[in-house]
Amino acid sequence: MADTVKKRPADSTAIPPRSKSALRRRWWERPKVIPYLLVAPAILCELLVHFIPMVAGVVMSFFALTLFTLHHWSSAPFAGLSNFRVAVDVHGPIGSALLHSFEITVPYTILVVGISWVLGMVAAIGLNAEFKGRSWLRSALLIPYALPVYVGIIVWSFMLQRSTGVVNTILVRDLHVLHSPPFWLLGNDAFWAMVAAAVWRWFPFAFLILLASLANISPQLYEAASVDGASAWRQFRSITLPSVRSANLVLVLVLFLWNFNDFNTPYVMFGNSPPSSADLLSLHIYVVSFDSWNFGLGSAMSVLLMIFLLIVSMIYLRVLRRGGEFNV
Amino acid sequence: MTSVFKKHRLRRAGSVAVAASLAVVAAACSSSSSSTNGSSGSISGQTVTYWASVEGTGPQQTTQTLNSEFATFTKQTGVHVNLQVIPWSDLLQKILTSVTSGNGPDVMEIGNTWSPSFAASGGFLSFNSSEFSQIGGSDKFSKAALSVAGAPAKAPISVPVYSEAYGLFYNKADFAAAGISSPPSNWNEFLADAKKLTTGGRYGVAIEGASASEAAHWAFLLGEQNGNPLYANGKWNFATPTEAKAVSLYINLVADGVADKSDAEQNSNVSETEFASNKAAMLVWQNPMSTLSQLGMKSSAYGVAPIPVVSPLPSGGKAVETFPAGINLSVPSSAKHQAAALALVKYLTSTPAQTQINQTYGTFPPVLSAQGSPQFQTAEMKTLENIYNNKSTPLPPVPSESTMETDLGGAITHLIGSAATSGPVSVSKIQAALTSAQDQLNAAGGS
Repeated sequence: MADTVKKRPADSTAIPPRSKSALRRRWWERPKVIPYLLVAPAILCELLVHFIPMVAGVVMSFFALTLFTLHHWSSAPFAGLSNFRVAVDVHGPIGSALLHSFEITVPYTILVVGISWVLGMVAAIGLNAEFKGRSWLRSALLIPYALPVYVGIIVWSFMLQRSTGVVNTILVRDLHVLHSPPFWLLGNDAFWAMVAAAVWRWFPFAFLILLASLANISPQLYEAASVDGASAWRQFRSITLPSVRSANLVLVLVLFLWNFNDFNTPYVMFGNSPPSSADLLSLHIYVVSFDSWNFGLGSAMSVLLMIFLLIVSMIYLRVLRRGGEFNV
Repeated sequence: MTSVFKKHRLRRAGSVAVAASLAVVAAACSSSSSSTNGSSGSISGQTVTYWASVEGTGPQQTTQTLNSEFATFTKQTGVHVNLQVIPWSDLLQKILTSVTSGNGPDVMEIGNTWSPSFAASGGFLSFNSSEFSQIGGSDKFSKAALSVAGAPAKAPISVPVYSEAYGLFYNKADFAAAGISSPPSNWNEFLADAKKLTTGGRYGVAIEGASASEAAHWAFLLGEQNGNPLYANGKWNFATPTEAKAVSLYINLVADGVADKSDAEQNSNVSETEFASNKAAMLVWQNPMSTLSQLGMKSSAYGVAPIPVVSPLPSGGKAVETFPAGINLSVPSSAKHQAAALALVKYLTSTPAQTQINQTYGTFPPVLSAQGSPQFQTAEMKTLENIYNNKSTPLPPVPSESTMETDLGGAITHLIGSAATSGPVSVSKIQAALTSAQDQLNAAGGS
C-alpha cells in the first residue's frame, strides 16, 4: 500500500507524503471494522425501534402494570406468571374472550392469505404474457397496495355502509338483486367485510412477488412442455409452481404473519368496539391494554401471540425445507 | 491510483459511519436533556405546551378559538403557548403515554369522566389550596362541575373549563305537523311521539348506535331512573334484570322502527347530521348547538327539553337527566413550566375567556361569574344549565369508569346491531350480554 502512495503523481491536489505513523491505519479504517461501522447505525436504530420495545413488552408481561402503577411504572409489583394465567384460563371471562378472538383470527388469516395468493397468482400469470397495455394494468393492480392503509380501509367501510354505501346502492337500487339493503358491517357479515378489504389490500403484494418470480422462468421450458403435449394445468403444476417455490415460501410466511397481526383493518373499520365476528387478536390486545388500562395483561397476551407466531413460523420453515430436500 | 482512491474512500466511509453512529446515539439521548424547571422566578418568556381536545365544530374552530385566546394570554404574561389539537380517538392514549414517560404537555384538556382514573394514576398535579390560590380560588367554579374533577373526597386533579349536559332536542316544525304540542316528559310519551313522528322516510329519533360511550351513557341514565345505579356498594352492578329491562328501551328503539336501522352502524356523530337534515325529528345529545348551526339548522328551528323520565319512578329510581359532562384542565406532575401552566389555567378560567370560548363552542361556562353573561341567557342554554345544575348525577367516580364505557357500551352496541338485523332483543339476552360485560370488567381489575 505504501508503494501506491509513492507512485502518485505530484500534482497540487495530491495528498502530501505522510510519516510512517500517519500511514498506520486508525482502528475505524481497518477493512474488517468498516463493514461493522457501516451497519452500526442501522443496528442501533433497529435496537431502539424494535428490539428494546420488544424486550420491554416481555418484561412488562411479568408485572402488574395497571392504571394504579402506571406513573411509577418502575416500581410496579412483580406479578410472576399471573398475567399469563389469566390470559390462558379459557374458563375465565378474559381467557375465553382471548380464545374467541384467536378462533376468529385463524380463519381470517387463512382466508386472506389463501384468496390473496390465488388472486395474486392468477393476475401474475395473466400479466406475465406480452400484450398491449400490460404495464398500465400492472401499475393499476398495485394501487391498493400503494394507497395508505387507512385511506383504503376507510373507503371500504364507506362503500359497505347500509344506507349510503355504494355496494347496497348497486345491489338494491340499481340491479334489484336484493329487496332490502343488508348490513355488511354488523353481525357475522362484518367478518366477510374485513376479509374482503384485507384481500383487496394484500393480493397486489402477492401479485408483485409472484410476477417477479415468474419473470425468471425460461419460456423454453413451457415450449418444451407444449411440444411434449403437457396441458396448461400440468405446465402450471410442473413448471410454474416449482419455479416460484422459494418466492412462495417467503410470500406465504410474511402474508401469514402480517394478517395474523392485522390491527389496521378491524380498527379502521370498527374502532375499539368491533362486532364479535371482527374481534381480531391485535385489536383485542389493544383494547385490553388501552381501554382497560392493564398493560401487564396486554403484554402477556402479546407475548403469547409472539410465541405462537414463532412456533408456527419455525414449523412452517422446517416442513417446507424438508419438503424441498425431498424434491431435490 | 485506484487503490489509493479506494483507501481514501474507505477511510472517509469509516469516519462517516462513526459520525452517524454518534449522531444516532446523541439524538436518542437528547430528548431527556432539554428539560428545564421553570417553576420558580419569572414566567415571562417561557413556552408552555397545551393539548386541546377537538371541540365546537371541529379542529379548525378549536385551533382558531384557542389561538386567539392564547394571543391575549401571551400579551398579558409574556408566556407563549404551543397549541396541539388532539383527535378524540388519540387523546386518551396520548395522555397515558405521557403519564408513563413523564414527557408531555404542561396543560391538557381531559374528558371530565376520566378524572377519577387519572387521579388513580398519580401522574397529575393536585389542586390544593395553594394551587387554587394561583388560579383564582375554588369558589369561582360551580360546585356541580368541580365535583367531577378527580377521585371522590380527595383534592381535584383538574378544574372544569367547558360544561355540557344531555338534553332532548326536537324539531319544532315536525312536532307542529304531527300535532304534538309539547315535548315528551316521560318515556311512554317519548315512544308514542317518536312513532307519530316516524313517517315519510323520517324517523322519530336519531341514535349513535355503534358508539360504545353513547350506549354506556344511556345505560347510566336509564339505570338511575329505574333504581339500578351502574355502580353500587363498591362494585359494578349492571348485570341485573332491572338494568337489562332499562337498557332494552334504548336497544329496541331500532327494532321498534322509531330509529333508522342504519343508525346501528353509526359512531361518528352522524346523529347530529340526521337531526339537522330532518331525517330524524328528535335527538338526545350534549350541547350540539354549534354543530347544528354549522350544519345549517337555525336555533329557532329546534327546541330543547330535559330527556324524558320513567313515570312513575320505581322505588329507588331518581329523575336523573344527565351527568355533569364536559372538559376539564389538568396539569401533569411532569409539567416543565408549572407556574406558567397554572397561569394559563387561571387565564382560561377567567370570565372573559370563559365567555368567549364557551360561546363559540356552544358549551356553558362552569365559572360562576361567566354564567351570567348575556350570551348564556338563551332558552336552550338556560334549559341545559338547569338540567346540569339540578338534575344531574355524576357517572361512577371510579378508576374503571372508562373501561366500563368500553365493556358495557360495547355489549350494548352489539345488541343494537342484533336488533337492527334480527328484530327485538329479549330482556334475558340483554341480561346475558350485560353479565358477560360485567364479568370482563371485574376480571380486568375493575374497581
